[in-house]
Amino acid sequence: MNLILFVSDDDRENAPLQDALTGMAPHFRVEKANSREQIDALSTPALIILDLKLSREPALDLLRWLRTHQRYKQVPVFVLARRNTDATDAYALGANSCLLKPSAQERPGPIARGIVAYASLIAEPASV
Amino acid sequence: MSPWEKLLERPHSRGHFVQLYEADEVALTKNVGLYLWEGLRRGEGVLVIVTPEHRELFCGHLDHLGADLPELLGSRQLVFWDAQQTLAQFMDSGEPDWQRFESIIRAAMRQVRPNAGAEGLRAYGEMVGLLWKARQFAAAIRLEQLCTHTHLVPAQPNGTLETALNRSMDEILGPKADALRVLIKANYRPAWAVMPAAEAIVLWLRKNLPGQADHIIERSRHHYQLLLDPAGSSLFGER
Repeated sequence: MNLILFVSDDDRENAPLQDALTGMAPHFRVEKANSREQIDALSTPALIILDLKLSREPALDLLRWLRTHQRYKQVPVFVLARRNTDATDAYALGANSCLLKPSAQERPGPIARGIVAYASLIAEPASV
Repeated sequence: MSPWEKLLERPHSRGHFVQLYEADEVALTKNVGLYLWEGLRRGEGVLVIVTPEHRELFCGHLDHLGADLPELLGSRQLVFWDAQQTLAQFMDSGEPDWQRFESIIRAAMRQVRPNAGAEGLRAYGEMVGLLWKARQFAAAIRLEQLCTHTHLVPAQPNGTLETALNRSMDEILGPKADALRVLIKANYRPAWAVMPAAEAIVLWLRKNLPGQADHIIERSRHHYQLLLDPAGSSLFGER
């Protein structure tokens, strides 16, 4: 089954979006990781969603690593940013898209639906 | 006279030049001075948005060429605006804002008065250069595009292009197109804040769906033609 990888370590803030993705993407497995080791332990994802606020290492360093890693450099990366300046840096490092983090009041459904639609357009047919 | 000097004397209508000047103030003064002076001699209105230093430089050169500066400034055939102050009026979070840019530049152009019987307006601005000097490269490039777009991309065809792209997305991507539109709209891109929607869609498709982008854009060309010229649609075989 194709994988959407959610790189985040802020469960409280990101849970609504992650839950919405899981609920809307029965053909995808939505997994969470928060370090290079955890990412490497999973199969190659179809899409990576990277929260720019990580506590274990700077998210932009992780993005740089993804963009130079043979296994991930072709995988689209959507970043979740809080500030415009973060977005600018993320684009410079090769992020495909940048979504400003929805506020607590915003429903994550429409964005999740868009992400799932996108993932299903780019995903290779599941090999298993 | 060199072809370049001829072009400066009589630029094409709606033409847009970029003068690179970094350290060569002599070339800048000569080329911009020629451009402004020829416009003034023809009775055209001339708008100059520059730093105070360059205002002094250009005024000195125009005076040397024989311009009656008190008369030109008094009649508003020649209008100077301060580049830094003008820039501040349409920048938003480090990016040029399209609507404010249009509004400010239109206001500046309305101040300029060509001579009776003459028409046309020449403008020279250094706002892109100021952004570049401040190492705000993305904003500088965006502003340069805005300066071009102001003349070349009327609003209506751009709205038509957006409609054509949306139709094409619907046909090729099916029900997913609606969901993707939400994603494209939510996608933050510093320069996109001022980018027309159609342009934003094209760039997003090229970056994120390269496999489908060409097909969608090609199909949207067809829709665009139909929207602009419904009567000629039979040439394309379908409505």
